[in-house]
Amino acid sequence: MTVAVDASRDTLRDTSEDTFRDPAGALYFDGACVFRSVRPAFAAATEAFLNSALAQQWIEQGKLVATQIETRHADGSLKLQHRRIHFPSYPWEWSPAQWIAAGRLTLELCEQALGSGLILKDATPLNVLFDGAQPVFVDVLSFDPLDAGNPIWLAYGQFVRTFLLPLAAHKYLGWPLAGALERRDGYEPADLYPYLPVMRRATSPLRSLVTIPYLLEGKTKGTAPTKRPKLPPEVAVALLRRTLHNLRRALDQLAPSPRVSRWSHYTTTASHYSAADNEQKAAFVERALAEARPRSLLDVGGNTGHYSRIAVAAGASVVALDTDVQATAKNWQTANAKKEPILPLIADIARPTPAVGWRNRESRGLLDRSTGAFDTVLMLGVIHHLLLVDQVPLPAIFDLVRQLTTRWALIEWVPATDSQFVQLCRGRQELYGHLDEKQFLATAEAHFQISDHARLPNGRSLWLFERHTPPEASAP
Amino acid sequence: MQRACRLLLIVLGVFQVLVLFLAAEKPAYAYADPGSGLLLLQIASSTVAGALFILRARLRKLFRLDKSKASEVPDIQP
Repeated sequence: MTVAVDASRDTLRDTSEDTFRDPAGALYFDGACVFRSVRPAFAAATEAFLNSALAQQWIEQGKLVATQIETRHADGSLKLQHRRIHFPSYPWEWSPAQWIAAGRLTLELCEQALGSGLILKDATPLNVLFDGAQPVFVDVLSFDPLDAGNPIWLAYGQFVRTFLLPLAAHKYLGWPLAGALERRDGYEPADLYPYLPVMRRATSPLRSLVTIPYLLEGKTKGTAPTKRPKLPPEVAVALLRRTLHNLRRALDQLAPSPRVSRWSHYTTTASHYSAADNEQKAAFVERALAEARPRSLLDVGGNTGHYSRIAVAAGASVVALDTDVQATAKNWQTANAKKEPILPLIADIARPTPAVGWRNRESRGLLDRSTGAFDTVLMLGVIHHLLLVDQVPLPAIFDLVRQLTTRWALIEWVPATDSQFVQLCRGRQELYGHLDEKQFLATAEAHFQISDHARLPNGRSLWLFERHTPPEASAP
Repeated sequence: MQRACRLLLIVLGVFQVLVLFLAAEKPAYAYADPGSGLLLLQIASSTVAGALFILRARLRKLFRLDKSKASEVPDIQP
């Protein structure tokens, strides 16, 4: 908020807080609960916002995270409690379509906020999480009272740097969106400019997102005006709406054209599966999940989400991981359109998303977030990739599975004679050819007992394992 | 002559908005880095658009195109 610069931010900070940049307050976790502390100078405005019809409407629509005032402290500060989102995810794990959905939500809320005399003070994808496949704005302290008469949206630059330029770099230069992991504040126009072809620099949308700002930067050498302009308030609001409208148009222009990848049509093109294999596999997964009754399931190698949807039908909330951008995008689009409780993320379980940020504590790693969060892990058509491509030994794979699930694991075993196994083995039969189902089961026994299994006509087998140890405290 | 008048009105509009922009009262605090080139572009683009808004509102008022909305700023929402 712009009313005051809180000097106490640096001196009175509680070191247990997980976020620290916002002068208005900080987010922290206590067990399974998510809290936000609000500093005294910002308490009244925050409370007024949370009680406003607009915030209540957004919460009902699922656009803003449900938040209640937990405590009003004597010093004037507030403690808020947020509804916990099933699985926190980061922009570097999202498909392009998820980035665009998060950007649209940010602009939509900012636009609607103008009507209530509010404006977003920051605009980064880190303010958005996905609840299932639906984007939810989670930073309730981002809404500032509108500075009447000021037509400049101070978060404009941040929106361009953190939403539009990564999307532009992805669409036109093929830079992965996962690069956002290394760029907390996105890309500067100067980061993209040298790599863009002349025509791209000269045309919309990059002319105004990259070229002109880049040339202006060169002229001003950072001496940008820091004064507040004053216009008639209605003109200022009209200009802000115009700015948001232009950003929305640029966002739409940066949606990548759909591409076919190796995995995006896998379920219909996999030749090592006959119709009978597929049918029996789906029937077993249904049966096993009816037994496991999962509440929270991690689908490793989820592809376009065929089996995630069977898990949803069995009552689970699903996080589906896949390394393929196109397959994940397709899965998310379906889940988003049907409002299914599936969160598709781009992630490699063999190289899990690391913890990043200040002291590696700002954004949690994938395994840290996953531990204890799932009662069931689904690993269909994955184990031979971990064994042969990532060269991870079987006992290490089962150690990980045990860490990921509090109770059940449904794993497909792929024998050494399988066409995919042979293809991935690529002449390394001496190293891996001896791996068989017997060894697979013997290794599993260290942590799991067999609860059910099925054999498919193509030689593969499916196993429902249950952990030896009693289930831990139920997943959040 | 009419074209010259129109041009003069536009120039005056731009000048007025520019003056308003420069006649700032107090420093703005930004929590998010507003950038330099991106901020300047936004200011430039808003200045031109602001001038056009004011101009359009004035012309409407002048010609009383729409009496009920003569004092309002036109809504530019898509």
